[in-house]
Amino acid sequence: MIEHPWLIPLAPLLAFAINGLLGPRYLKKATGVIGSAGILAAFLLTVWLWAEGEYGEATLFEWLASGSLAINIGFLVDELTVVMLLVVTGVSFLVHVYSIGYMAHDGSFARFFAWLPLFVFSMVMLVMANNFLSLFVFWELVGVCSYLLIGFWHDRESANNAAMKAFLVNRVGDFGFAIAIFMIFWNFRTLEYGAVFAQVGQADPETVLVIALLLFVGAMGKSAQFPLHIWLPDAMEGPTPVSALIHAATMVTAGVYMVARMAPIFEVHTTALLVVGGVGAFTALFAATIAVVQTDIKRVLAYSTVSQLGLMFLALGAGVYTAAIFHLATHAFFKALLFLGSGSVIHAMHDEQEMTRYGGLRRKLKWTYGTFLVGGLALSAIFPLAGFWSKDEILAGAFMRGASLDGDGLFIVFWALGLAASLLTAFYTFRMVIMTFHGDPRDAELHERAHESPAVMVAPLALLAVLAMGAGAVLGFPPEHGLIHDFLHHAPGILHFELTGNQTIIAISLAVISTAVALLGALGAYMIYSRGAPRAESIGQFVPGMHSLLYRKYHIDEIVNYGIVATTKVLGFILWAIDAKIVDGIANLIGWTVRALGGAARQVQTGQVQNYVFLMALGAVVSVGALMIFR
Amino acid sequence: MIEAIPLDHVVLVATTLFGIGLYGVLSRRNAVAILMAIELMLNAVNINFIAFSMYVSPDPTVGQIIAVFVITVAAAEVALGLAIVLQIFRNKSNINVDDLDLLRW
Amino acid sequence: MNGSDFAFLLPEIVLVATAITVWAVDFFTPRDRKPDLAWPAAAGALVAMAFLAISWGEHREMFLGTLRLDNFSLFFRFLFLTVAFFVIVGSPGYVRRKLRNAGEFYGLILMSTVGAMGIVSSREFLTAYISLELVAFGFYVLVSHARHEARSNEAGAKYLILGAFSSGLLLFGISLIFGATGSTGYAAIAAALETTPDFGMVWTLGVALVLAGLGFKVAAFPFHSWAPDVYEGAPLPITAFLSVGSKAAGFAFLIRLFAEGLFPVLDDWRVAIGVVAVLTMTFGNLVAIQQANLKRLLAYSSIAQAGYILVGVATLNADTTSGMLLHIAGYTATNLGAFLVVIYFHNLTGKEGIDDLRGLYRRSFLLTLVLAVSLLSLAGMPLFAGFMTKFYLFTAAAASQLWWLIALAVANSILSVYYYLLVLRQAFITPESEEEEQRPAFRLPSHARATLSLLMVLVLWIGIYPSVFVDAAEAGSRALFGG
Repeated sequence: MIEHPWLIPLAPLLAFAINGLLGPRYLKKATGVIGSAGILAAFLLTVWLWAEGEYGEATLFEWLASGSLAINIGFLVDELTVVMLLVVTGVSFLVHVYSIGYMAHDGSFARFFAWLPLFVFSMVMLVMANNFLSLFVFWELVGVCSYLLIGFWHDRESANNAAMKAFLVNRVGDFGFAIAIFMIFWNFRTLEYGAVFAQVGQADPETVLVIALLLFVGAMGKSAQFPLHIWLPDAMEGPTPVSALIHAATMVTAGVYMVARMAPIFEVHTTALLVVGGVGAFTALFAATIAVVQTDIKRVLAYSTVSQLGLMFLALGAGVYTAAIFHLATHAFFKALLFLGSGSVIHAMHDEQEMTRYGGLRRKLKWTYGTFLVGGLALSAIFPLAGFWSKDEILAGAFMRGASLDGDGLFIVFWALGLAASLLTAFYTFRMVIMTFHGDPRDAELHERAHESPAVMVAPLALLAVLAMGAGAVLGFPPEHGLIHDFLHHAPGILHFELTGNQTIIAISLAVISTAVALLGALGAYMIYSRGAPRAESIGQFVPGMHSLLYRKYHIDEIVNYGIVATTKVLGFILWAIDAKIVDGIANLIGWTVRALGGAARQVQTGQVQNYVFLMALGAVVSVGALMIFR
Repeated sequence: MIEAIPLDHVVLVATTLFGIGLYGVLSRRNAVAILMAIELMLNAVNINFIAFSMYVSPDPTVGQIIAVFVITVAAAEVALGLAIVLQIFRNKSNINVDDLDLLRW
Repeated sequence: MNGSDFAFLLPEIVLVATAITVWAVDFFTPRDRKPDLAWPAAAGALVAMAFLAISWGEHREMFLGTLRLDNFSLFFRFLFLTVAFFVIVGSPGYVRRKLRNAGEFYGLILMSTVGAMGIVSSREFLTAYISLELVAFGFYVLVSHARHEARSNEAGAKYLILGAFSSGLLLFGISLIFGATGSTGYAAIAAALETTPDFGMVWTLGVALVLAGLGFKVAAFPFHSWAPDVYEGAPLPITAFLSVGSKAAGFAFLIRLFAEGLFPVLDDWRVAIGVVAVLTMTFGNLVAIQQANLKRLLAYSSIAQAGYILVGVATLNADTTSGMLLHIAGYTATNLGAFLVVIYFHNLTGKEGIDDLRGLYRRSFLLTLVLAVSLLSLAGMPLFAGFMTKFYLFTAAAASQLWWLIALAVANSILSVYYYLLVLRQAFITPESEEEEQRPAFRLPSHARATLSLLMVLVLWIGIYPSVFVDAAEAGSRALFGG
């Protein structure tokens, strides 16, 4: 299999070609099956590759053979690639299957199933690239696919604007990326990873730092880190399966993957890692705070994604790459699950996305509720679900990095930020679960018509729920020595985080702390949002002794909870306002300035031929004058 | 005889002539007058070429040949210019360049 | 001079002969058949191409060293013939609607092409200048060819006045360089510069004026101002021809001049040219955002493209030269594609506003597809020519370490995506009104479908697997820089 790694991207490419060319006219609904089959083939081939366990680089053909810029198209297959491929193709397959049901009544079914495999193809190529040029090309191509899919319902004005915004904000990130590539080429005269990594050690550290930071700007755009995160919440205008696949599980993690892949470049200068960790930790808390006050179910999930991506960058900054990739994988499972679950709810509620009109759906949407709850528990990092293992490792890594002698004390602060983000994560997750599924229906008419989704949608949910439940423990137990750690241990350029004996106690206490924090958040949400529904009594049924405890301390709890929660909510609103008005406003201001400048510049074109002559003469005089003076 | 006039002087005359031509292009409103002003600029060029040819070039014929070419090209240019101006006059009965402002911004 | 020199000018001779034949046949052709003279004219361009292919790899000094046929000139001569072919083939529908004297029209396109082919071969100022004027004279007539349209007249008058003025600047500059070095041959100028590195003010002024004159040809800020007006007023096929042919000729002139003549003093000029490059692309992109007319938008976009190519001139060396040649080739295919779409769209609807593209996706898939490919390529998106060629050019330019220049060029390239997307949005996305939905789908003539597809394939070819083109560009660059 290692001799023919190109078979993996070929499968989705074929699916795209067939569906794109023949879909709209001849295949129609069959495109769904073809698309899913193509992705399944890619997944199975990846499994085969994994099972064979032979890794390396394969050159496909000479792309450019010129003297100054020789580039071979090749595939780099190592452990990191395989993990990414398994996640990308696996989740994509489930989303494809789900989409057959979700998009069933859409007029552009065939178009949807042309773009989606194209996205998978680009993503697979991005992950398998062995040089910066391929990486950049497919980096852009996934951006284009994202643009096409966000604006999929193009009769919606908001969808068009969101697509445009996503594309342009990403281009800002790409600006940094492109400059970084030029600097890499100029400094190292090559664009192949291996050759570049071999040279970074000898290069000027300051230059490498600049390259690393520019690369990180690219990663920030794609992975929606503050302040380039503004596109992701708007991207929810796309169909929900797209949000699940592209804007939660796979594409947005490309930035995380990129930084992990470029670890040798980032490690040359610790400042680079500090910046990555700092931006990640800040974004994690910032976005989590905003998620607390959103009422659109997809927006909660969108801000949650931004926040979780922030945690991954925190891990990268702390040097625990394995934890970052581990969290990337588990997050892909439970976030895809949550998005698809929300899609199922939206589907049931006839395209209503406001949680204020939901409520009491748990009886009507049994499967959706069950799986959604699993996803929520995993996202909240409740033991022993998937999110617990990976997130705990990130926080532990950040703490240790800060506490260790050669580490940077700032990482303790980042750890605290991450911990606060976990608290809020559990809080908003359960707020969402309760508002959607518990209590009484807030819109009786909608509730009346709600129905469980078809099996083709529920089956992927169930599979993802199993993954969200078990993947963490299977891959990540025992902590730091689980399957994924051993597996990624061999990947070149990836540091491995080793714990010594006496640190184990710290690690365990950290795990306990973060679990307690998550439970506290969940409990808070329960206290606030299930008012009117059976409260302390119902808990009492599950946890004996809890009833009296809660009952007696009720008022204290209420005060504490309201004090903290109210503050958080106010903060959330303020941050949201800042995000919506100021950060977005700055983006709009830039756009406005550009247009205004254009309007001013066009005044040069008066149409008067003599003004043109004057301009030319002036230009000649000024340039001669400048040359006389500056030479 | 010609050697008595220093090169600087000739070039100064040519540059002045060029400037006068430039001024004409900028100030006249009549398209034909603008074409004439451009002729002045080209003639300044011819003076330059012939002067430099006398004083600087190893082969004194080079500049003269160039001048002949420039004269020819300039004549053709004016002929074309007049044809276009004539066409404009037919369509709008006026050859003010100020009024050529359909195309802008 | 000997007779066999002419054998190497066979392509040019074929073009001139074709032009004269077309003009002669024109007398005897009934008016409604005249637009079809495009086919013999296009065939002439193809025959010339075949003759050109014979002299591949031949390096030859001709006519007392005034002309030099090498891979550099071969690259551009081939490019110009391709351009002429596509422009002529794309014209008949438009000519039938808008123009009289079709024979004259096609013949002049061929003559301008001969001029452009002369520019790239000349290594001496006078020859280059005469060729340049041959190109320009053809264009003066072609631009104002729609004789009864005020816009076409106005464009012609503006182009002629500004063009003549810019030749004045160019010639005055040449005369000063001649005065400083005693020669108009590039090699002799370079030799003079080796012995005397600085000729003082006369020299500086001379070079600056030559650059101003050439800046006009390539439409570099602040010598660009003719371009939007003339592009908008000219008949559409001529706009296409101007935006690629005339511009490429100007760049070929600049590149050969700097590589063979002014290379010893290039360092004095790098920053100045870099500043002009940045101003050019920024101006073009900023104003393009404001446009509502497709032709005018493409005019500003091609100003911006000139800015990118000037990055290569500012950082001139063997690598950036091949980068520029590659970019010019990619840009030519791309822009021709975009303009052919506009031409065919105009033939079918009589419109050229961006808003008028609404519903294009429904009415003609091919037009929309080629437009999308072309505009995404102009925007520099991967998989299309524009990305690959710009990438190649900018990586080569990075060696100069003018980081501000590269950064601003990349930033501009990103800015430009915005207005290209606005156009595509009209074509793909913006819904039609009820009334508009009744409009029938377009029926394109088969030759239109063929040329459009061909150009699209070219753009994708250069974008995805450019080896052949890179080899050709590097061969062209080696002709100037050796190695």
